[in-house]
Amino acid sequence: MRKIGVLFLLIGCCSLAFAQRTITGKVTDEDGENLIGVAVLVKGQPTGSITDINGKYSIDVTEEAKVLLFSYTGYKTEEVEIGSSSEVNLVMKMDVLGLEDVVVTALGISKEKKKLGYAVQDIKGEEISGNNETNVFNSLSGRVAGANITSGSGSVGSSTRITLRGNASILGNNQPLIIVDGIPIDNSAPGNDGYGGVDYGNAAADINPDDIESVSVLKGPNAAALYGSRAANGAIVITTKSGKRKGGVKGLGVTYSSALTLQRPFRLPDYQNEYGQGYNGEFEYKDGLGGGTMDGVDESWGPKLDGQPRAQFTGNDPWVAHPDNVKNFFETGATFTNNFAVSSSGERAYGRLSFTNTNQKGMLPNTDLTRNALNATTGINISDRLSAEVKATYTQNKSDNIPGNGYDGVNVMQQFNWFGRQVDIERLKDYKNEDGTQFNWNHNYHNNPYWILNENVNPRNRDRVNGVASLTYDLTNWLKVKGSVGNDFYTENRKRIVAMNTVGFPDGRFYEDELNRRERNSTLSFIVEKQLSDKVDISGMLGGNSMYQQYRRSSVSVLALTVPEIYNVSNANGNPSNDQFFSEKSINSIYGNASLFYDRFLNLDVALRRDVSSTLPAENNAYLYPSASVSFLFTEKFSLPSFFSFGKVRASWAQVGNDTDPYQLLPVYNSSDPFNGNPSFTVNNVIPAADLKPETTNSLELGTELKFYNNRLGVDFTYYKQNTLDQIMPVAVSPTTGYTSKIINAGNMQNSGVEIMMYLSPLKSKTGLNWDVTFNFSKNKNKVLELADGVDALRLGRYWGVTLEARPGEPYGVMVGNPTLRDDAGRLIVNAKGLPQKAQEVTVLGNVLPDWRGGVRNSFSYKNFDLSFLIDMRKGGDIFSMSYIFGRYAGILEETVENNIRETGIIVEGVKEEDGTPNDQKVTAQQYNHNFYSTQDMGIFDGSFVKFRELSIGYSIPASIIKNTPIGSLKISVIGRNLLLLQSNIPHIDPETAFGAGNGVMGFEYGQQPSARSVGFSVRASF
Amino acid sequence: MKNNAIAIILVLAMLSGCKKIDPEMNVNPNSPTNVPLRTVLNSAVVSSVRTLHGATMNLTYTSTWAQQVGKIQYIDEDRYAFRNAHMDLLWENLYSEPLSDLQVVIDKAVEAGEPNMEGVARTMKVYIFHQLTDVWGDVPYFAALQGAKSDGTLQPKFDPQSEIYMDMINELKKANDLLNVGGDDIGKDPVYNGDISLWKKFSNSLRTRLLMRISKIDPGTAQAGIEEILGDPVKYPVFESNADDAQVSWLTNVPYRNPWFENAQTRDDHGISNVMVNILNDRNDPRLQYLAEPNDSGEYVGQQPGDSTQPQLALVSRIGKAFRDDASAPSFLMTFAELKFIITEAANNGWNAGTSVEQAYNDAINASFDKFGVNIGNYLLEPKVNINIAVSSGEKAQLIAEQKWIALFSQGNETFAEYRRTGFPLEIKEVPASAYPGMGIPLRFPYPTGEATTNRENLAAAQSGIVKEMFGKRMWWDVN
Repeated sequence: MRKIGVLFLLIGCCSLAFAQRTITGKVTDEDGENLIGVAVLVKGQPTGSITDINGKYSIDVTEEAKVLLFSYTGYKTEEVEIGSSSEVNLVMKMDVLGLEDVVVTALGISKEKKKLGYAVQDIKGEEISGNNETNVFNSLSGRVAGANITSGSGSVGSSTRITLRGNASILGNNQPLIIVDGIPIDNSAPGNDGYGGVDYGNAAADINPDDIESVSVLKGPNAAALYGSRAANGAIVITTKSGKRKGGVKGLGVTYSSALTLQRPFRLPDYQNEYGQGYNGEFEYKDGLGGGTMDGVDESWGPKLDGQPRAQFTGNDPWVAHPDNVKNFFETGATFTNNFAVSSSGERAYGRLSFTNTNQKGMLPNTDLTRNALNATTGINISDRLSAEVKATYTQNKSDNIPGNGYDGVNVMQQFNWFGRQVDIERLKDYKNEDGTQFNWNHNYHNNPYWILNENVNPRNRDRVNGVASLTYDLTNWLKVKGSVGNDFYTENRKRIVAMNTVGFPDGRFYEDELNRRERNSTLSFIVEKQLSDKVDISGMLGGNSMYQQYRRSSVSVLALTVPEIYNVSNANGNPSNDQFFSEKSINSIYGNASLFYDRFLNLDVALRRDVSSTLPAENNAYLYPSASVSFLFTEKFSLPSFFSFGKVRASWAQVGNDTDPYQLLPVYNSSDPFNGNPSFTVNNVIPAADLKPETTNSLELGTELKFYNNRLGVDFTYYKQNTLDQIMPVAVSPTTGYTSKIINAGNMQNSGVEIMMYLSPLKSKTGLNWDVTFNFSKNKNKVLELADGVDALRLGRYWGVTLEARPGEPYGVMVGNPTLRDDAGRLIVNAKGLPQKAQEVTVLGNVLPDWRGGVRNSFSYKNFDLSFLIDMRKGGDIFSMSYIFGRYAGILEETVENNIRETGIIVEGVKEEDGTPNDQKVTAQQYNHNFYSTQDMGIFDGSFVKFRELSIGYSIPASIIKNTPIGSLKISVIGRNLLLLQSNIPHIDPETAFGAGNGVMGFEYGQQPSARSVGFSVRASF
Repeated sequence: MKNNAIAIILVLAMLSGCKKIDPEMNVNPNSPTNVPLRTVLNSAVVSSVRTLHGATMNLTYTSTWAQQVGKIQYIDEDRYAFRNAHMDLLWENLYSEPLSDLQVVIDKAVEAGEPNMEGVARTMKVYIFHQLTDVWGDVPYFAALQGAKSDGTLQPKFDPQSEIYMDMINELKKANDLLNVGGDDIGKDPVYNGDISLWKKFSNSLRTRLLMRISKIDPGTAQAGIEEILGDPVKYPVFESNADDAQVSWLTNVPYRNPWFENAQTRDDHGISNVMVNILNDRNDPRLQYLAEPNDSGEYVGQQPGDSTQPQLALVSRIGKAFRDDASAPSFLMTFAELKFIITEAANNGWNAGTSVEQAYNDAINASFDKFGVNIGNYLLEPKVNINIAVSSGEKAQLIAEQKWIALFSQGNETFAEYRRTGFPLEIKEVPASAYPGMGIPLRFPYPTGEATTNRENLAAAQSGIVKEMFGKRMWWDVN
């Protein structure tokens, strides 16, 4: 009975009729052209309309209505007093720089950008979907000041690492939190290393670029503190399209877009084409196993390619070069994306349904990726006070084969490094003999590359559902309460297949993992927004959140097969080995923030959050952290020369606490396979810490935003300093302790730096040419201030002779190893054989972190045409290229034939060890280049580069042409990505490279699968 | 009423944020915090033998540097161009795997009062530690393996090898006292299937190995120790036949197949050395056919160790099938034949070994032939074998060392150590394409570079005197 009463009350509320009148008008721009689609709203009321093709609108208003709000993308939002007239016309002014931009801040709170006391950068959805990049993070490259984006490779599904403002955590996660529609999205990536494996990609690659409305990058803890622990590295807040139109405008929208992108390898090593396979100038093929003359060798120190017949794997064929053998192995990759979306917006409800299919065929044969994304949003205004919204996305991310990488036979690039340069790859396509064995140029170390990609496949399938349901109730006109439940759930199957007759695995094998991740967030918050007086606006919120995370993995390994080609446990020869893992964690939080905006020039913001984490010991598991920011819009307060359009200074200080992973507190035993039926357990190698406390990040940020000449010139400058203390990390300890690492709470790592964005509009004209220049620059200085007591250095990773370390007093990620032995004058000290040698002392050899990054974008538009291009650059960031060292070792690189070294040998320029006299001992090219393995610091290069990152050209079909069709607008564009490497100091490879997304692989390179140079074509139509 | 509703919602909100966290949530459901000690012992035995007799340590380094094996592909290590990563891996695989496990077993067995478990674990710990110090010299020992204890150090200092040896010898004596047939059950271990009497024999036999190792630097201790053991077989039983040998028989299925076999499944990097072939041929030793395989032309052609370039594979003899082509072939921890050679050497030193040099020598060679299943024929009368021809104890010592070197085939860690101790066989010479020309045979393994990150100062102290990582400083027991 009571419920019905409430219902009547609600209905009564919304059906209360006020006296109404109609206002009409026309909106034009400064040149008198009609503006179509301008949102016209009644301030403070949920009533709105939109201008038609003639720029005209009509809106019904009540007597309460005092002010009309006009907003239009690219123009200044205007407020116009209605007064008594029934006609309100308006000339809108262009807003070049989006001064009145509203951005999404932490916890989805929209704020006017001008008020913010910290740096936030927003990117429109079109900028991202227009690239046709399957991994959404790659599209942010060059667009966000302070973001360091490293893509694994150009192979399908490879992961992308993104950090904002450098690395804060010594051994933990350094990537920002990814939020989609208010819900954190798992972005875990497999811990890939350089010794082989499959890069299954970072999980946030599931996000479909076509569904993105906008992206807000909250660069540091100052902006993201309200998200708590996981946003200590900042946050990327993605809002998907909802179908909702401003002001409750009614209508149906249909859009269709289609894009095709073609990819070719961006850079391949420069190979030599003068000498073929073998050793000491000898080669004669018999069985590819060493049965002939040097025919087991996978290096190119064989005879000169003289065109004479010679026994080879193909028969007695001419001994000739195949200069494009590697290049021709690659196919033209193609990504084809089709998106279809319908949206509808009515008086009481709105909705959007979108389906996107992305089909990618990799540059490597038989590699692919398919993504199907179905996204549905619906919102209902149940009453004037109560509204509900549901957003849900289903994504299938599927590949039949993701290529392997690193120093491993699964990586086809491995054998192009250890290669006979004369090999005709065309002849390898028929890779299988009739008896099921391989046809190949070598059987000692390598599989036929087509065998690897066709037989030893790595399929992956991920099904993901994520979404959020929320209910908002306006308690009063200044206080509302919002409850929401969000879920991110996926299940993923990964398989690695090794066929029978594979070199090294005659019995074949396979591994299969079933992964399951779930995160649930339940939130309730009270949101206040009130104008206290003419001069004072306050807003704030108080909320609680309960987060629950679960991870489940079930793995099976079959290390030998009974019959070929059946990759099922039932086909195991011997016992399959099984492994299971389960973990869960929860964090309960309460938080609040309050903002005060005074007299339109001063904004003050304070926030507080308290987390309770299940992963910390009961006595330390609750932690509280505050943040505050202030911004002062001095152009609003003081009268300044008229060219000074806008000026703001801002400052903020924030603290963020952090917990750790589950199960770090107690010692455990790990099981291994039973021996002869007797169970085996071994002591876990990690020393746990029973008394962990939360870690803390303190961050200070200062900035200013200045705009001049009616916003045709603008600068946004930020300085920050951030310290992360008491980090919870497993530090490597000497194995002589009986353990390999210990969980500790220690350390202080500091990041400080600047971010600068500049805008310039040299040409601005409604009918003529427009030219905009955007410039971004960021410099981050990292320093490890202290590690744990008694710990001199922490190992992050190690490949071959080079270790990546954190050392006090040094920047994070220094490369450490034995340098080549030189005298005080820098001359090489050669050994008794006349070859360079390494010094016994270990020293710092380089640093993987870049000094600075920058990008310049030039955009031009003229009538229906637009053109823009982006130059992107990085200074510093050393790379240890084992491709260079092994490429020399194997005699495949151009350098190994330079200066006739193969014919004449070389006397290394250096001095003798015993007496310092000049070296006079001649060595062969083979000896000299093999020796590079002992002086690995010669493979460390400065990773600076200048890249022609992007060029896009667009054309909108004029309305006059399509006016008799149902098409509302039609745009065609061409976009090229990763076009040219304008400047680089590193030979043979793309300086942007990574084995994966982890900390320990930064700066290491070997057998890089080439990144892609791509050209895309797209058509976008709306109806 | 509205206020009530707000109040209720507020309370709910706060509850969701302040809800108590269940401490059970952080209890690891995947791994136990307590397990039966026998399962840990199992794991320690298997993992230690797998490393000490594995393809890296035993085949690629020690057997190669003792020149029984020659590398035929990837020949860098045969030229003493070691890989740092190998050193780190071996170090870690010994310290943080079996040694760590055994320390936990010892501590818990003491606590629970299980003397047999403790005695076996102490024996295995010495078995691992002596091989570790035999290649690296001074290593963390007394303060090692204490990382998880509240007073344990994370940076153990490197102890002098002399002190380590003295303690290991005491540990084995203690193990003998602890081991008691009929005492606590240690489960079905991979070496002796739980037979304590055999563990007792192994423990004492191993003690003779250690004592003989220090016989040149500290003859007094060595003689007293060996005479004590051999003089009281009731208190200190030792191996009495090949049936007592300490060995782990591998299984036919992955992941526990013989490590040399496993390596040969995918790699063909090791041949028999020409030093080995020549020594056997010089003595008309029929064991050649067991220890080596003929090449493609049916001949026994050994690989020159550390040659400047790799050979034609078809021309080289590989390691014998019994060691390389049998998944379940055993790894030998210590054999009766070796014990007999130790007794022979003791007798030759003039110590009271309860037997004559000649008798013990012939018994030892017979045991080796029996072990390999080869008919001995008139081998003992071969001129370069016959002990009766040798006049001086020095000449006898050479014969003993040569024969021991042959009999120890497949136990590279032991042959490499014994070569450095005795200097025999004389046929072993610096390889022609040494990466350290003129420096001779490596005296030791290079220290792992990981210690430079985690234990820098202690490592630096231990490195003093070492030249070019493997030279300049001998083992304590290696007196030229």
